[in-house]
Amino acid sequence: MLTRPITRGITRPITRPLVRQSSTFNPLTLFAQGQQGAWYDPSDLTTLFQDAAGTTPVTADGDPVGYMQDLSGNGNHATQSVSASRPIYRTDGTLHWLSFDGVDDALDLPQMIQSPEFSLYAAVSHQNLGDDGRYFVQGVSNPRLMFYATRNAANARQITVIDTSTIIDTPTLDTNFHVYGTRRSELGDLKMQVDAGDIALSGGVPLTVPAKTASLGFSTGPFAGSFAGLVLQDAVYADDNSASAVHAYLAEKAGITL
Amino acid sequence: MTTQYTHTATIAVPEALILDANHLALLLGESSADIDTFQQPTYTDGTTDYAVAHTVVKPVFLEPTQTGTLPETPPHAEGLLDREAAQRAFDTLNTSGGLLMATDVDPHEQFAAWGLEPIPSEEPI
Repeated sequence: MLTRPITRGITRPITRPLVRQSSTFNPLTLFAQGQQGAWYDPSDLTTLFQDAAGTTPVTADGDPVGYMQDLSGNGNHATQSVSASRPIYRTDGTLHWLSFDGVDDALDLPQMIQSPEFSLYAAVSHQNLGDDGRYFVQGVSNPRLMFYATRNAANARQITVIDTSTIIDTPTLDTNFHVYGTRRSELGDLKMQVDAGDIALSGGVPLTVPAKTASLGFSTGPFAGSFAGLVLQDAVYADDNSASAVHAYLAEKAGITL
Repeated sequence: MTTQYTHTATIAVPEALILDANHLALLLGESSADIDTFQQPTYTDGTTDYAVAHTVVKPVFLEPTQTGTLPETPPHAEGLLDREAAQRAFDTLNTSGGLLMATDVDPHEQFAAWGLEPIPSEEPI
């Protein structure tokens, strides 16, 4: 909002799309001291390209996405070299997201989680309610880390840790956007948050962190859904205030009211 | 601006034709990586397993199905493309036992229309 008259001319062109940002929180602050992790924001068109080399910009609703820049400064850019496996950039003019078709779409990532202590947040909608929706996977085969929305015939909200390699986050069964947050301490304390809800587990649950590449979506167990942003802090067990700030930021990206 | 990708293609490839189909994908695709379009089968009709793909495409992608002729080898396919393999795959398009392709449809509805079901995953739950 302008509260003072403009007294100086605009001398630099506007190169980034004007998008509605959280008024007080910038995820870049989470990486200011060189912390490892990643931050993806599909609403920033300057970070999206049609080809895996990052040479042809995404400019329109319906363009395929072969490269999504990691805004954290850690260089964990998401790419897809196979044309048919690229998700699609979508916008309604206000919100922006990537649409994964549930057939073969995925964006490839380097190893993202290095430490058994981490905080991962994603704004995701799950479209295929008859199957699991793996929105982030590290490792194709066990041991692996999988974060996904599962089927739940009882339509009940539950959190389950299946084994040492899998963490499951199960939302209320719908196709709406939700913000999923998973925070794990080195000692195994686990906090999982869906939108504004919060469920805490503790007890030193062991975790094998696979030294493997990761992906948004999962090409062999396809993700049918939409993705509006992700923030990952490796080797960080975020406190509640920080987690709330990230949740609010991603909720705004996904058009969710917490 | 409007996207140039104004159509979608849903494709199912019988397991025995995956190698040939990948050369067709390379020829009609946009990068050398498209030689890896079809990987392991993930759908089945109970007798034959299929590798599948679904993608947005530009109108030029559909021209061979309209003209019956494959295009010239694009630069990204030079040195990689086996045109005979691509032609073999193309010649089976929408024939019995051949590649299946439909345009501008919901892929999951189309797989069902073809009698294809997902091959059960080994995933937990």
